[in-house]
Amino acid sequence: MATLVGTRRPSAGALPRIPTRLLIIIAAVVAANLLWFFGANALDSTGQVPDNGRDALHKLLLLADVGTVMFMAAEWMGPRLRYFIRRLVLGAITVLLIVTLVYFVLNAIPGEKWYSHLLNVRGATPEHIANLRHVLGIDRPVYVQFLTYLNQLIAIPPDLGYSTALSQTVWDAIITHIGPTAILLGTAYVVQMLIAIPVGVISAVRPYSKIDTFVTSFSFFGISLPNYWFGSMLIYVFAILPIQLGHSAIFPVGGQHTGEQTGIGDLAWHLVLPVIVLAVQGIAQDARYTRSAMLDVLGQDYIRTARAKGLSGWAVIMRHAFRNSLLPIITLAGLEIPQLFAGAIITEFVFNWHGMGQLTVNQAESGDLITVVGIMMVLASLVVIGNIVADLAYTLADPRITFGKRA
Amino acid sequence: MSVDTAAVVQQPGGPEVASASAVDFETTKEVGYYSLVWRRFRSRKVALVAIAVIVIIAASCFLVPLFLPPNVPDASNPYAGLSAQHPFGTDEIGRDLFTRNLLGGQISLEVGLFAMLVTIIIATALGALSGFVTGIVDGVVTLLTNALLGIPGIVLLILVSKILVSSGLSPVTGVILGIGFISWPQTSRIIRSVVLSLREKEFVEAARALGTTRMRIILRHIVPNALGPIIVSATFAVVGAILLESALSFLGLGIGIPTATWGALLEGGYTATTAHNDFLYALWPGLSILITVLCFAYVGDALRDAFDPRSFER
Repeated sequence: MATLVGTRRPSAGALPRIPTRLLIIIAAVVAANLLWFFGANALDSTGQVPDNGRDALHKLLLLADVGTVMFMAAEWMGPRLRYFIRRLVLGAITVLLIVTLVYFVLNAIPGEKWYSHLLNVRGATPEHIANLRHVLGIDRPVYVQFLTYLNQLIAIPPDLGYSTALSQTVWDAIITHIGPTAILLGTAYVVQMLIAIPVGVISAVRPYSKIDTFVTSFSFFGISLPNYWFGSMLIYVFAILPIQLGHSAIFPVGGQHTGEQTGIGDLAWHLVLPVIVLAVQGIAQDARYTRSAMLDVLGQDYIRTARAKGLSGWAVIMRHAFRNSLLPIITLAGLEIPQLFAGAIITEFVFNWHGMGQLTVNQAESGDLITVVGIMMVLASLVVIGNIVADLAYTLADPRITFGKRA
Repeated sequence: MSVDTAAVVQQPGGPEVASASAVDFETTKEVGYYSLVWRRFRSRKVALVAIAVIVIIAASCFLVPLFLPPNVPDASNPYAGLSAQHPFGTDEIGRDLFTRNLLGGQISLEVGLFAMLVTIIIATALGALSGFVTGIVDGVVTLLTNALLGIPGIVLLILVSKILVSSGLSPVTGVILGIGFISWPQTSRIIRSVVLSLREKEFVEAARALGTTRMRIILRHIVPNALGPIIVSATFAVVGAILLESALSFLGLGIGIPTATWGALLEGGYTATTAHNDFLYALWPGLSILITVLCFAYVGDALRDAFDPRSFER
């Protein structure tokens, strides 16, 4: 069995067998170091890349070195630590990849619209425009701009840049918008999990019963429901229709607060409709997922054993089946973050909720490059952290998991 | 093993059982894999109804407008209520919304179908490649997949479709390619996991032993055997594409005016709901999307059950 060779743990101190793909990576990193050692001066002499771009390249190289060393050092560490170090390194690469992707995709959109509000000022002379272009740094090639951006980004603390469209730093813009989104998504997520998991468990315990059929149909309905349409229908039924009939609105049309009020009660009142929109979709998906995870576990032999030894029905379901079906549910919870955010984008648009989603759409539409890249970077980091936390939660849910297997 | 077999043969009645099964074997018509799948699919009545509804919607979207009078704006009659002449009312410049809805359905269905094709082609190619070749290729494709899954699709779609449209493509083509570009990772993941298990199967080993090239193994042995999951993913890709297109149009960033799509009609309906306090304009396109997408989801679910190898044992 060829797979057994790879799973053998090296004894302490002995040189571990290095997989080929790791060798290729090491060779590439060593080559990059040599290239930098001999080629950095040549790069400077071309005059194409400014100092901060050169610094960015140097920082990237250092990061690659540290990553490789950590990857190698992990070979001698315990299985769990090794696993998390690898996840961390791969996560950092993923975040970097996302930033690169979004940056170049955004820059591929032609035109000077990014800074048009600054450049197309009345009475601007060509010298003025040229000067401004130089100050903003948009007269240089895209890759140089990207390196300059990277140089700011890979620093302590990371600098996400300054948005001329918002007249504030990207970091400040994110801080002011992340609160409302966190409140909205957090509430929706808690509501969705509190409803979806019990519903999924019940429908798995009684498969093909009336409840199960109802849950299945409802989840199809939820998956197919266009959330923006659902939102506007809710607005009509709960906010516009009552006013038309001469009453006051049951729930508000949108926004976070009425006038100058700041109370929690007022916020909760505004939260109801958007949370319903977000949760219905989430419940549909998660209940179905919980159901199939539970059904898988309920078919196992140890469930039959537990029943045979005389445990009561609920003890079997909660202690034996549910705990084991938690693993796939936790994975889903970690993977759902981008999807949740995508839901927030539409919901915030419909309900005029001043959060990250609305900010993203507005800035993507008006072409505020640096803000969109910054938001994506923060979001990607959250996703990576979320997945690692989900893995940590694995070990809590199932102590048998030790991450002993090599990737 | 041999002892067991001998014991069975010596049992009284053993030969009879054997002959009975032999007779059974001769009278049973041989059933292929796909006719089994079709049989299982047929037993789900909801899915058959869903297919019928999809066909009716598609046929009415593409055929009925041919028999309707041209949809000219009538500025004297904006936001008209329901009438025999305008069953769904009229929009802000007095066009008949019933006709607009059917025409919008054409574009929405086209986008759904072609975006699904783009998604499936990219996903199958990359999924099969990374699952079969493994190693560094797999690593790179997986990294790319994870990176794309880490960005909310709709944001990337806004940007990508903008680029494609500004580079001279028609808006419809731009949105189709954009949706294909952002939605392949989910499908590619599924196909990769299927291919990973297929590549260990005996028939692949046999093909390799015969000296078949990798390319040919992927095209002639792996992909045909992964067709079940691919078809199921394709149905759900249509669902995703129709919803994504309408979401994009709803944000006002999709296939712009004057082309009608269900999402664009919904945007007009949303304005009518909040500004003119009338929800009927948003009701029809929303229901059209909901019903179409629901039917595709039901078909996809029935297909998944039909292709599921575990249901052989039942």
